[in-house]
Amino acid sequence: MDPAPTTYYVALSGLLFAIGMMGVLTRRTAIMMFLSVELMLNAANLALVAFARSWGDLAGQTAVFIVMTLAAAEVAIGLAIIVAIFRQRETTNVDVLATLKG
Amino acid sequence: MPLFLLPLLPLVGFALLILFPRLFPGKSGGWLASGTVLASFVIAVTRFLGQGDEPAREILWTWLPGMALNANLSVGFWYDQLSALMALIITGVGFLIHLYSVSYMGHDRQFTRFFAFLNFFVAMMLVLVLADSYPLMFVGWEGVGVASYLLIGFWFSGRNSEASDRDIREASDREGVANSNAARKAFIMNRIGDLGFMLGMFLLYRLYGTLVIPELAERVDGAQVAAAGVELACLFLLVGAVGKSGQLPLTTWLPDAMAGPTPVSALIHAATMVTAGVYLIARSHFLYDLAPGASTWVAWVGALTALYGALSALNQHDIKKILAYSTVSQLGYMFLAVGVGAYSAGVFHLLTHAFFKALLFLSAGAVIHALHEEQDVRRMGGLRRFMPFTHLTALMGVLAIAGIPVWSGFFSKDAILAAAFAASPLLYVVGLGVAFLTAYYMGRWYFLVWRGEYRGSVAHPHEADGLMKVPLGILAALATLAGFLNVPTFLGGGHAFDDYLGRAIPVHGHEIPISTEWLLTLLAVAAGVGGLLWAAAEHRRRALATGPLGAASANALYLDRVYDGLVAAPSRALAAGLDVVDRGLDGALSGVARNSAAPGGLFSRWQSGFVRTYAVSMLLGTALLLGYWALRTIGGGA
Repeated sequence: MDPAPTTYYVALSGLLFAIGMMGVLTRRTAIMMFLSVELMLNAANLALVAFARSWGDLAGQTAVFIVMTLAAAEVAIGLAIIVAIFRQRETTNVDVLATLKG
Repeated sequence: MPLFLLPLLPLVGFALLILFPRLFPGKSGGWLASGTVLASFVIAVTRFLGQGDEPAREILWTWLPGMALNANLSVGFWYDQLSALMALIITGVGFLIHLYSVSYMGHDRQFTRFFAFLNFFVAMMLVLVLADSYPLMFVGWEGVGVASYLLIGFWFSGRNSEASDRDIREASDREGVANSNAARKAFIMNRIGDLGFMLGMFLLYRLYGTLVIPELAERVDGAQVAAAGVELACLFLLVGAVGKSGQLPLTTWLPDAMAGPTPVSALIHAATMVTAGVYLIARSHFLYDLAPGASTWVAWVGALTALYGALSALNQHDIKKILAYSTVSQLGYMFLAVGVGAYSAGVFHLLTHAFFKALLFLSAGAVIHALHEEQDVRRMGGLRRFMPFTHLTALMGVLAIAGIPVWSGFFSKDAILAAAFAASPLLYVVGLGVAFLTAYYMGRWYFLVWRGEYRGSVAHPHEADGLMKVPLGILAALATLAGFLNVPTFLGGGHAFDDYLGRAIPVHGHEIPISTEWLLTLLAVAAGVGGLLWAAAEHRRRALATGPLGAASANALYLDRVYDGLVAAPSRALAAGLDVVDRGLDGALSGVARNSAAPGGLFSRWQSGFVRTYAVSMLLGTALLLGYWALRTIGGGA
């Protein structure tokens, strides 16, 4: 059985990335933006794995592990920050949190 | 009792009053200040009574130890007959004036602060006269300068700065500005003199390698030093003395200093501080004895200042300004005396002047008090009926300063005139003329204030209260009787003062035949009586309000205007020019700064704080970059 062509994977990855990006741009809740960012990261992961397989090079898969680790760390810190902000402001609406400006 | 207690007690009083003014409610601060000066006076008297022939030197510590240059520069006090006398005058007259001020300043809002400054002044003045070295003397010298500055400008916001009436408040503001300017003028003109003092010290150190006065006095004898060096050092010291004592050409600050409260005028600008210059020259007599040229300068500076002060006093209208120019003139007498080598006569006049001039100022203060701050003699007159006691004390002062026999001024002025005659007939003629003018303007002062019709606006001027009467009475007694301390030989006296001071300062006897001396005395008395009679005659003609010389005298011979034109106007013009340059430079730099900040403003507006805006920016940026690369790749391929 022929493996599915890499193009499909990259297309799916691009679709996921676009969905994530739309989420980041349209959502106002910090949590939802966060989830969208995660979606974008995983879209990138998918592209990396697909290209690794098509070129027969393990470096791409290795990179995925690093991205996943980073994402886990980022989630931990990001959620902590969001919780801290919520305790202070009782909101996670990022448009309300627009105090740091020039 | 150790000498350092003398200045220390008032200094402690100053520290308490200035640091913890709230601890002293009501008039207690004034009583504390008077108490410390009284304690110092008691110490001064005990030291005086227990004094031997030998001077005492009490070294406290070494100044800047470890510096080879100053190895022998001690901080210590030197107690000989001259410093003993000065300490007695300062603490004695100082105490009386403190006492007077408790009543005089009683209604002032800054009562406690006033006494803090007075105490500070007394402490510094004692350091000045007790110092055993020129640098330590300079510390006191500067200290009294600061005290003088603070007290001249004591009413720096005027006397009615908190009045409810707006006109009164604005007038008070103007008065405050004038007072502050007078204080600054005194301070700045004294700086010129201080520069001379410092140059003199530097030169003396260079010549003799020490600035400790007793050591210097020893080294001067044997040292091989060019006469020109000593002359120059003496001239530098003279510049210092001229500044402090308001002599020509640095005289104009002293009349302006009358902006201070009247007790300050009495204590600082009549009795003590302004005589520091005379003290400096008498203290440095061993140098001036070697410098006949510089001594002649001293004498002529004194004679011309005496004349200048007397001429300026002729047509003044301010009750204190007349006395101020009179002080300038009398200080000129003292300079004349020490300039011709009659140190004892100069210091004796310093003593009697301290009594009668403090007395006159305090009497004037009582008048100003009674007339609710009126100072124009044209709006006084006839006060003899309202204030009989003060009238009597003021009369004693006038007779003393006019040199009428028996009163103290007669003896001290006579000694100076005799010494001047022995030195140079020209100096004598100036001195005699000044004696005549002195009697006239003091007579004018007396008749305008005390005799004739009352021309004032206050309905019932009140007599001084008991607390003010005590110092007035004591000073009147001293002004009357102090002359008998030094009755000259030809009048059958014992010249006790000359003998006493002669143990510290050589008293150069002058060779004048007794008949000549009688003649001189008669001339001096004639001058004094003549001046008073002239004033009385003018008074009878009711022509006293305008004195002789008219506007020239009223404007103090235009000296202020000359200085204004020569020094002040050019520096104002320079300042205005520099101001234009400064504003130009500053404006240019500000413009550059504004314009360089402008683009930053654009970028800072971009920083909106909205996270999603940033995300869009990132997206657009990435898209642009990708598009650019894509185009390049395509273009490169084609």
